[in-house]
Amino acid sequence: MICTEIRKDLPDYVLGKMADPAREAITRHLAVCPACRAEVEEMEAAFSALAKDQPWQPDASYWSTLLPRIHERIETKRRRLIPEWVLRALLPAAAALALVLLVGRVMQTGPLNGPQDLSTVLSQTPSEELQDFVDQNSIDGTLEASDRATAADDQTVLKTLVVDEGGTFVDESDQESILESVPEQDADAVVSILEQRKRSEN
Amino acid sequence: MAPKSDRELVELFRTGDVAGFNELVRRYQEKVYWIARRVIGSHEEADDIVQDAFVRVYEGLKGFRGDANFYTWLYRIAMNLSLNALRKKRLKEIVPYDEVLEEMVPGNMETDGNLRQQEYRTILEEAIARLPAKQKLVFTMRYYDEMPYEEMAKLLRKSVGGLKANYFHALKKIQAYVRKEMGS
Repeated sequence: MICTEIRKDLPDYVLGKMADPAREAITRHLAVCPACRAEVEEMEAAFSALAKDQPWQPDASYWSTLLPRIHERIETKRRRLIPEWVLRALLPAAAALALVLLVGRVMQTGPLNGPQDLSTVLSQTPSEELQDFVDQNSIDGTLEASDRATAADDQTVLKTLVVDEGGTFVDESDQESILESVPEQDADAVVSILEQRKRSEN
Repeated sequence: MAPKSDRELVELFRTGDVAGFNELVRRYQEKVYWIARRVIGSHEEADDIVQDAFVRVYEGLKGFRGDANFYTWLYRIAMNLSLNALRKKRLKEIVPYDEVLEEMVPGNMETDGNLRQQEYRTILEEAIARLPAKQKLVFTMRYYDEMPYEEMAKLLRKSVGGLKANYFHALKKIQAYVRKEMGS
């Protein structure tokens, strides 16, 4: 068996979550592979430490008061001056605007020179095209990149995305609201493009 | 009387009885809380996410498809809210993150052969906190929630092999970070 294939299953093997014959095959491999055996020993130590790591738990009163607080939040949202349907109609537009802004900037498909250009680009971008873009750059790419990335990379990418790259066009006070309005998949798509660009530059 | 199924509770709510929603909250509040807490780290932020998640459920339940799995839908909502919150949090912490860490990890750790358990836990928690967002999510789903790979693959639209690799790499990063911080 190939070590790289085996190793993907080692966490489950160590935690006893594998059934035969797969488990048996790994046991046989471990008998002849010192490198994978060392890997197992390290994992056992890591899982043992994780098992001892018990975070602070909320008490019973927290759980009994959660439902009323959820209903309060629902009521607060209902009482908002702007009706929910207006917010729902506006949010996708805000997300699309942010996406076009960021992707346009990142891909350098033509410089954007301000809000006027942005609204033109936005108005000329069919929503299906935008959706296609998002679909093609969804969670998969980011998960793969995540294999190689570290949290520090995540931070660098995000900083580049919003502070450096978007800084020209996005006022700092708007960054928070843009982050809130960009759906996860859209943000992933932009992060993925930035990562590709970063790799090609290196 | 046997407890109502998720589907029955959803139907109850759709007919106008809020008791259906309330029961779903009671049934899943702890699960949603721990998804958020494992990803985001703090109780306060997890509390905010769990409330938001159920507000979204309340708003979306009337249009929820009867043939879909309620918990899968809820898990996805909680996961997305947690990841978005984590992104925002990391963005805010770009500068102070290392400084905070420096304060949390004692400087004499390398010369101290017997780390106290609390210090070790701090390092371990930091190691998990430092995982890339999606890798952290995969680790949380598999290790803490013990979710089968097939279910994770459906939720994340990712292959089982890819998820296994992700889980493995997450664990390796945790090990590497702990090793580095312990100076061995």
